[in-house]
Amino acid sequence: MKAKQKGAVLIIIAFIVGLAATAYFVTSFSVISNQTNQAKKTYQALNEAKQALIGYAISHPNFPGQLPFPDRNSDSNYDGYSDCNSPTSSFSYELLIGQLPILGQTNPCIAPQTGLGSDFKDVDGNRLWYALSRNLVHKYESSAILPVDPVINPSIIMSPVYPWLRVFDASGRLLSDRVAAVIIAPHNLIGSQNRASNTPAATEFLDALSIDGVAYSNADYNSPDEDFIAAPDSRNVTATDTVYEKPYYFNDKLIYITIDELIEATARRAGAEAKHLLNEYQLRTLQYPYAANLASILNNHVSTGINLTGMLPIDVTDTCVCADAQSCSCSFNLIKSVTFTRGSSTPFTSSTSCTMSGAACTCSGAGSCLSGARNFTCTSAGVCTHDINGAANRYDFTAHDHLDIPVPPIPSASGGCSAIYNKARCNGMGSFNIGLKESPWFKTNFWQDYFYYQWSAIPNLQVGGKTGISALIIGTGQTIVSEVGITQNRPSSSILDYLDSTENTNGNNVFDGPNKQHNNNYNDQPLIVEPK
Amino acid sequence: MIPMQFKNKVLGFSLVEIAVVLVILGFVLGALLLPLQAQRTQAFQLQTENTLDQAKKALLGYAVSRGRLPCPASASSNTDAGSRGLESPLPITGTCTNVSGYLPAATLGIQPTDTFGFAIDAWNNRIRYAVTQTNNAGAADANFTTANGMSNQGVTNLQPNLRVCSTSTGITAAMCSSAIETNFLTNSAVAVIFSIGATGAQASGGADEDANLDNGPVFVSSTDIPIGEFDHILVWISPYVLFNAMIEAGQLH
Repeated sequence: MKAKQKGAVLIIIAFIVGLAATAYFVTSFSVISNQTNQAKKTYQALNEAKQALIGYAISHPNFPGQLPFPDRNSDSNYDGYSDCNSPTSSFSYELLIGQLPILGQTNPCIAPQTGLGSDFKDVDGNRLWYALSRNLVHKYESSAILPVDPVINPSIIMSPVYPWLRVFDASGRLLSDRVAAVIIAPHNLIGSQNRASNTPAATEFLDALSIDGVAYSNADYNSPDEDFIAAPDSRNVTATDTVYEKPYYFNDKLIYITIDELIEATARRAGAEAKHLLNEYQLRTLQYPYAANLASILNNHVSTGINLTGMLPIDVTDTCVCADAQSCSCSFNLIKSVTFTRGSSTPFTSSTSCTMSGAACTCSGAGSCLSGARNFTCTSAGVCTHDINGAANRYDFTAHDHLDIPVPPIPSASGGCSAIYNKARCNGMGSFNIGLKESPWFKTNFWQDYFYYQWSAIPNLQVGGKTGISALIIGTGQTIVSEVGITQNRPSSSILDYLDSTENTNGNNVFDGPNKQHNNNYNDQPLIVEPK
Repeated sequence: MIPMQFKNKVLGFSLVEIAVVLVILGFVLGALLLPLQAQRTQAFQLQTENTLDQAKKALLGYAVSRGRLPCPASASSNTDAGSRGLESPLPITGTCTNVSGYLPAATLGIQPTDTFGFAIDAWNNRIRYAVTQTNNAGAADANFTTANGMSNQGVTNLQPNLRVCSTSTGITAAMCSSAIETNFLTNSAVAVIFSIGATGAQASGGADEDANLDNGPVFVSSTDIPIGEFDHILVWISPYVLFNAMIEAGQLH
């Protein structure tokens, strides 16, 4: 009886020890869980910032592919606004590292001066940092330094003007040497960092790491040192760890955008632009434009014969002809209107389905204008004639909004026709061309050279498992050694120099699907144009 | 009468012993329960943040697959059946002109919801949702919520206008401040999703919270506030995150 009573003390002590142990484990679990959640939140912000940056680059109205300058400390604040270089100042690498420009852009940044649209921060409440390649920014230097803007298309991947950024891991292993931009969560202060001033330097936020005696810093991109470190922080490295060099003064979290990712995304924008142009054309003419030849000359984007396959015909899709000074033919599917003006200035006196203004008569379809016994007439097919004497009579044609009347050096007007600012004027036998009206950025970046195009009057094309397709384009990407073993070289008249797989190059109507994995030997990117 | 010998054998713990045990027990229980309470609060916050993130992803997925964002769901109160968690109006019945309303969980197919199909936060309050109705250089238009509306405009013409300000001080009906706009966290959000927080069912939480409930395009996500006043939890969709997803899906040019 006595022994049992003494044992109760032991039980109570054991109970207390158990509770204490439980408390310890619950607390420990809570700490680990909290750390995991914090890391998750930071990476979530980093990844969303990455998507926003790519979105900003590819949706830019004038320079798709360009990235914004960071928010630097040189204007005496970190205000969330991108800070661009003065046009009269020379370039400095300091321009390329700073905080994410989440709110907008300061002068003289080019329009639209928008920010990334979201307040990206790490879990400690610090705004994210950002550094980008010199290859991808608008050039604000003196206009004597040309070109003003980089040409951004697949060729930039392997032929950049300046080296791409490089990212290493904590053991010094190269993760990527084709990095367009890095986004860094600085986290809290470590070591001797001090962010008390208004505009702390990058070193007060970003960390350095010594690997095999070589110092790598995420903050020293104020000179052409393109190396960055993506490493675990000290919290996740045990004191006995022998892999990572000590001391562990590092808590940056870094993710990066490769130029391959950026170009693939920009190519989708360019593909969407091409798709839109082709569908706008089809909407009015009820068929897609004939393709340009694959050929071994540059800038070959003129619709040829009755080609159903080849390059995008963005320069010329159709030709309008004046047989003589009296008769011109140009479909109203292509032109918005034609205005005939009497050289004698004698006014028209009546009209049918056309509008007259003094000596000018404008028709947008079948109709006519009378001037006494003389008349000017257009049929619904766009055949316009007049029986009015006078050498100074003229026709003025205005293309539909989605079309363009090209000017030299693109094959343009000839004979008695001339082309000026999306209009053509004819006063004798001659012709003028009509092409697709692409956004200026499309051609200044030579995207027309990076798409294969095919259509069919009946929907018998197939992309992957999808059938019933009438028109498609395939982004050709940069030249590579293709799956079929061809070392591609462009321009070329061979499809093998553009497309990469047997399926895409065998001349039938079946093509690889859009989900086929890209690799070193395959970078085709199909886009179905019709059905939309 | 109890024998003396038995009395000696049933001696219990002394008061000191009991006190020591109780004190230790108190420490241990305190160590257990205090974190649990904090964890419970934190868990509610985390659960709501996760629901809001889930809503963001669902909205992006909806835009990518449908080519538009859904109209907000409608209801007159936190318990009203309203549109039963569906966007309102449905596209077949009319054009969406509402900026603000509730997250259309039934349309998006997300959970958890209340009995009427509205998405709810961890405190069982309905989650709010606002979508931009202005684009193309400020013209009032429903292109973001109309099928192919964004595609027809093209990415260069889309200018979403929802504002999230850092404070309600100085905000106007359409901007975070008059003249040169300051105090904004974004001036171009395409959608704002938010929880009215733990104190949502209570009376007004001050000017910052009131700004979020006035059905306008200007919202407040305050960080520098008196404790307990502002506890709304806001997330929003950057236009560039939406554009990137839609261009990748071939829904936008």
